[in-house]
Parts: sequence; structure tokens; C-alpha cells
Amino acid sequence: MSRRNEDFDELCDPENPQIIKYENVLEASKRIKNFIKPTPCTPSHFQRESGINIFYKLETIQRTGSFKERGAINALTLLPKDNQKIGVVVASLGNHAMGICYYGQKLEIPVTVIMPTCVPAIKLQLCQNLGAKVIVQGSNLVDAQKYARGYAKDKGITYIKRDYPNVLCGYGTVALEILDQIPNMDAIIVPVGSGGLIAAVASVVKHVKPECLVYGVQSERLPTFYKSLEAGEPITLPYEPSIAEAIAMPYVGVNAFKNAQNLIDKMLLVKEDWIARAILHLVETERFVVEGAGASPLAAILGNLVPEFKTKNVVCILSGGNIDAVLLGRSLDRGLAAEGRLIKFKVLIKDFASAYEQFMLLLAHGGYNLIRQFQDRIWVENEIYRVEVKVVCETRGLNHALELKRLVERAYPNACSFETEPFNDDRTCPCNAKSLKPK
Amino acid sequence: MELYENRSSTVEFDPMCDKENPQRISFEDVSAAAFRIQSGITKTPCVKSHMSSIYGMDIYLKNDFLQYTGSFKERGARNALLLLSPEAKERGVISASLGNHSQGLSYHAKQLNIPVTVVMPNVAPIMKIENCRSYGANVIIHGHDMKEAKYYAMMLAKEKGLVYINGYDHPHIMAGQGTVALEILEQVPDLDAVLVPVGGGGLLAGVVTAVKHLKPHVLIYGVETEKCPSMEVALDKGEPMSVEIRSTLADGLAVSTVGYNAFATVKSLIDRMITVNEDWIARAILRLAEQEKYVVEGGGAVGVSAIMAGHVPELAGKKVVCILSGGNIDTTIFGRCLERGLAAEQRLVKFKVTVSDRPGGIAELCKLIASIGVSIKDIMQERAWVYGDIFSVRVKVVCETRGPEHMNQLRSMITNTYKEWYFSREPEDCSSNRRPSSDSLDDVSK
Repeated sequence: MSRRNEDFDELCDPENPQIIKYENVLEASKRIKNFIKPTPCTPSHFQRESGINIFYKLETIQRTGSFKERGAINALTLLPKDNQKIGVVVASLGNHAMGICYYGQKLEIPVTVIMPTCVPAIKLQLCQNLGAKVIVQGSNLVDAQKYARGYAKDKGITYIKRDYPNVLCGYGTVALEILDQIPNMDAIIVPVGSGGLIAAVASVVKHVKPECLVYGVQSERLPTFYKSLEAGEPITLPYEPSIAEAIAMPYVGVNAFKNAQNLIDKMLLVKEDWIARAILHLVETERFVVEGAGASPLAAILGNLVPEFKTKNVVCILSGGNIDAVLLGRSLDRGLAAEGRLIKFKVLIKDFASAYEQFMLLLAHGGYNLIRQFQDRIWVENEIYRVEVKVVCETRGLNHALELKRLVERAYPNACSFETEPFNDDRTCPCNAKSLKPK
Repeated sequence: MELYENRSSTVEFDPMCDKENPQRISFEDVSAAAFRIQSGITKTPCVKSHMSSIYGMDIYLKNDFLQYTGSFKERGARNALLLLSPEAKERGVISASLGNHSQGLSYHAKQLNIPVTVVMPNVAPIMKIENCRSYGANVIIHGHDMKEAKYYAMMLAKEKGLVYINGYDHPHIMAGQGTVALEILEQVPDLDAVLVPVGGGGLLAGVVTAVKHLKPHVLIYGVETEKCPSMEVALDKGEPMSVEIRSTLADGLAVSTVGYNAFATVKSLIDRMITVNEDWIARAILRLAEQEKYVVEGGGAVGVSAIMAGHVPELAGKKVVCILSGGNIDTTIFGRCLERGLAAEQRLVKFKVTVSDRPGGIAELCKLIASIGVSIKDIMQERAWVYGDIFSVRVKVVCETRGPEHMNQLRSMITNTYKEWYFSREPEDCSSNRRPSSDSLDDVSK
């Protein structure tokens, strides 16, 4: 439905979506060569356990910490000189803005960033540190984008949206590098937010190597692209916070959707917990810091969604590493809990020092590390001389945790409760793969 | 190079690491090692850091934590294993180590089909024990500290005829570790200085031998933690001396006496030794995680902490390579280091304030804190220990700020609004006299 009013954007017109051309991506890769070096695509240390030959495309080590730079630098260098002098404006909550700010500063292009009011202070600060002017406007990203478009028209500056063809062609350069680095690749798993990356990657990969599979992955919290594919057209969903904040997009890009629609082989949805486990795994086994969105391809593998990839060469694009330290700590804890290495339970013991000591010795002999405990004497019904101890402790793994449950239940029969995971039966079957074949 | 005299007096005597007969390694040892191990070791990247502009020097990071077992120790291990005689390979090797050396040795011994036994004290982290087992080693837990574990390992070595491989002082090990320097010289040919983490001195010995032979003008600085300055003490006294080990974030560097061979190699060639405060190590771990997106253990981050703490002003404008020697940090400790780093950067602030105990007292405090964009991580009340006013409660708050100026803003707001307050750490700048590292790793949660 075309709307010839201020919302109309000729580069992002639902009636006339722009197709990404392979030649443009090739040109983009020449153009950005001076600014961006090819990032490594390293084999994982996880081959044995998963049975899949996983390769990680490390976009986390880009200068601004995500692949978005590729699109940003391509779009900025393609601007005519006059437009460059006047400047650009973007609306973004994170990686896209940082890419534009960093290269805007490098190329001496004035940058204005419109951020919605829910922006975390640190992201605002980072953009300001890179020399951009930040305006906080709009209660969510869509409103901020509207404001940015109006602002651009008023001031006569260029508005750069992440769905624009120049930006998408920039993103496609990552696929060119991967095809070069892993020529015998069988499949590639791409995180999907508004769809820009997968549209570009799919366009390039299917042009050069049509037999290579392209899978997209989203969090099941906000499966906008998935639902859009189901509906056959771009739809919007109400915003939900997610551990994969960079791909928690309530809408999809018009151009991205058009390009990706017939090229994606499968769209996967992962649970938030698997993303936490993936972040944990990447920290522990590969020693990389990856944000939730970047870890989602690995989350799909950990959640057992792609058994068909066993013995195949699969590239996971680790799209970014911009996770702040606090969220990283929390994700690691969440991952440990999801793997059963951090467990929580309650035990009712006698309120004497010796009983307490006995309980602690039980834990120590089993090799469990006590992290936190909380004693409750007030809400213990009918038992004046008992205390309920809530315990959080560290185990070696799921089996060790189950062993603890047996030990405690035997020592304190009918006086303990293990209600939270991994002891509850709430863990759904991991074969949750949803597939969507092109029509 | 090898001289084996039959002086088997005590169990602890290791002919390859003999105090009376220290062995220096030569450049040829290192370059031979490079050829020998190349098929089994990753040539890790040496990339320019994103932090270079902040510190006014070109910082390059040698990412040796990307080796398969997560540390550079594999280089020495593989070299030593390949140099064993065929009979020794049949019988097997043994070592006592708390971490990276045992992992590297286990992994490569399994690859080369050499039986390997590892002895660890009972304080060894669970993950390291499991890792060695998964690499195929026979892991024995014995002893309350490294000394006891090592004694037991050497006893087993004599009993079963196994070869004991010291993780930092064996000449073959040192030669292997030196190969990292050859790679650095190739990857950053015009470098000016190298910052090397120092535990037992093996890596330093290898690096200094390789670099000073090819490019004597390149400065080699060793970096240690304040909690275990064994090399500094050894250089001071002229011989390796035992230093008390206190608990440190850089557990891979917690070696009480530097190796005799390492010391003999290092003492005349090294340019400078630096010790860093534990807080700076936590900050470096945080910085490497947030900016470079790498997970580096305390011992691997000491080079970066030396730069961050301002200990190397003479290197301004120069090309400096930091060896990130390992990434085997326990996940819980990693989380705590991130918190310690945030606290040191004043992005995590803890303070106590006395507020009215009537309804609304705490709500008002929260509103005040939120009004300047500070988010609250933790809030706890204490009632019984507040003197004087029965209607007041002391509240302990842990909150997140954007940095030192934001923290000062919070501080002035609290001090102007409430009569009784206490901020747990007075702000300091890095040029003021260094506070000694505290002994507790859990400072933030106290």
C-alpha cells in the first residue's frame, strides 16, 4: 500500500523493493577494502562433541564491534561530496549508529543520531565519544526513525536507513570473504533482525554457490522475520526485550524481506536459554566475547535444531560483540544455570550450628561449591526450631547436579525442594525446528 | 646442551632444572623448536588493538590464548615431547601443574601417543581437572598445594621411570615458548618493545633469547603481579628466591620461585621488570572483553594492565607488542573480574546511606538515584546496627554509573541530600601512590 506522504521513502518502498545485485556487492568490497580488513573465519574447538565442522566468522573484532560497519562505510563513501559535507542522520539503538559514527568521524562527515528514550546511557555516550550529535526522541525505534526522516527533510541532510541498498551491499561483503576463506562450505547460519544481513548474504551465496544452504536464526521472543515469511509479507510485532537485543526487531526491512524471501532455506527459532548457553560456550571454549545476537547461530546448534548438518562444514556468523560487562556477567550466569552448573534449592534443617555444619559438609564432600545462601526463619510453617536454607551452588555439570539432588533428598527426606530447572520437567523437547520452504 | 650427571640424591632433584648447573638456552634451540612444532601449533594472529589511540602507542596483541588448549604452554610442551628419546616416549611423562602446562602437555602427549600423567593439588579448579581428563591424561589429585603435588609427581617419576617435565624451567620447554617471539618478529617486523607476562620465567627466557639475538634494540619488559613478584626479587638478590604466594587474579603466574635455567637466561638480557596492582589486572580483563572482545586470563592480561596503569610512559609513540598468553579463566572468576574492573573504573559504585525508616524513605532514595540515570544493581537494609535514631535504616546500595564524572555527580547528590553516608572507595587517579592490592577477591560484595 503506497503512501505518498511523509512516510514515503523511495529507497524503502514496499511497492518497489530494491534487489541487491551481486555486481554491486563486488564493487562494495573494492570500495571498503581500504577501511576494513577481512576478518578471520576460524574453525571451532567444538568439532568432536557436536559432530559438525563449525567455522566462526569473527565480525566481533571489527573496530566498532559488529559487521554493521561494512554497510556504514559503503553507504558513506557512496555519498556525493556535497552530501558528505552537509552530513547524515541515522536512527538506531546500537551497532548501526556506531558504525556510521565511527566512519563519519573518519571521513569527516557530520553525523546526527536519533535515539529513542529507552536507550541505555552507555550507547548514547559511545556515539557522543565518536563525535556525533545525539538527539533523544521517540519512545521506540519506529518513532525515532520517523523523526529522523522528518529531520533529514528539514535540514536537507541524508538519512541512512539500515535497509537501504548501499548498506545491504556493504553487508554482502562478509559473504564474499567467507566464500573465499571456506570454499567447501556446505551451509551458513545467519542471525536475523530486520533481515539486512541475511538478505545480503543469501543474495551473494546463492549467486555464487546455489547448493550452499542459507539458514536464518531468530529468538523465539520476537520472531518477526519468521512470521513475515509465514505471512508472505513484512509484518510488525510488539516489542519484547530479549537477550539477543541487536536482533530484537519489531519490524523487518522491506528490501531485506524481498531479497531474502525466496532465497532462505530455513528459518530457525531459538530459546533465550540456548543463547545464554551459546554465549557461555563461546567464552569458555573459544575465548570470544560475543553478544546475544552474534551467538544465536551457535544457539541453534546447541539446541539441536540442525542435526542434518552433522559432518558438514557450517559457517556461523558471529555478527557482533557489543555486550556490556553487566549483561555479559548475567548471561554467563544464565548459561550456567541452563546447563545445570549453577543450581538453586531449598532445604529445611534444624536451627543448630551442628546441623548447619553437617549440611555444609555434605556439600563439601560432594565437591559442590557454595555460592550464595539465604536463611529464612520466619516463613517456616509449624516448625519453630527449623530454618529453611536457600542455597545456590556450583556443580560440574547436569549429572553432578542430579547426584546432589539424590544426596540431599536422602539426607533430608521430605524437607527439601528442587523446583527450578534443571530439576523441573519443563524443558521442552529440543527438536523444535520450524522450517519454511520457499513457495 | 644437555649434561646429565648421576647425582640422584633426593626425590626433588630434577637434572634438567639444577640450581648448581643452570642451563641457558640459545637462539638455535628456539629456531629448531619452531621447525619442530610447526605442524601442531597454531600460528596465532598478532593484531593491532583498538586501544592504541587511547594510550598513545601502537599496541599489538599476540593472541596466543587462541591455541587449542587456551595458552602458549603448548609450544614448549610439544617441543619437549618431540625431543624425548624413543624409550622415554614409551614409558611416558609426568608433570605437576595447576593449569595451562598440564593441559598443553596432556593434549599434545595424546596426539603423539605418549602416555601422560598429571598431578594436581586438591585446590585445582574443576574445569582444569576435567579438561585434562578429556584430553586423555591420567589425572591424580594429591596434596594441598603445588609443593606437595610436585613432590608426589617427582616421586612417581622415579618409581615408574617417567620423565618429569617442569612446566617453565625445562630447557626444551623454554625453547618452545620462545617460538612465539619468532612469530611476533615476523608479524610486526618494526616493533620497539615486547611486554611478556612472567610466572616461572620460561616464556620470558624464550622470548628474550629469540628477540635479542635477531633485534637487540627491541626492549623486552617482563610483567608480574604485585602478589607474586618472584622474578623481581630474584633479579634483586642475584639468584632465584622463594616468594610467598598470595591469592591473585593472575593464577597462572603464581610461581613462588622462578626457574634456575630461566633466571640464568634472563638476567643479563632483560631490560626491565614491572609489577602491576591487582586492580589494574581486573581492569585489563574488563577492557579486553569489552573493547577487543577477547576472554583473557589474569596472567595473560598483565601486559595490557602495565600499559593501562601508566607504567611505561617511555613507550609512548612506539610499537609495543603484548603477549596475551592465555585465556583459561574460570567462568565464575571471569564474572568477578568483570565486576572488579567495573568497580575500579567507577562504573560500579557501592555506598551506604541512612534514610528514614518510614514508608517512602527508600522509594525517595531510588527516585533520586534514577533521576540522574544511575541504575541500581543491589539494595540491602541493615537495621540493628544503626546507632541513635530508631526510625532510621541504613541502606547499602550497589549501582551502575557511566564513569568517574557520573559517579561524582551521584556522590554530590547523595552527600547534599542525606546527613549520614559512606562511599566505600574514595576516587583516585592513576598517578597517585598505588594502593597495595587487597587480599580478598570479593571486595565488591563485602
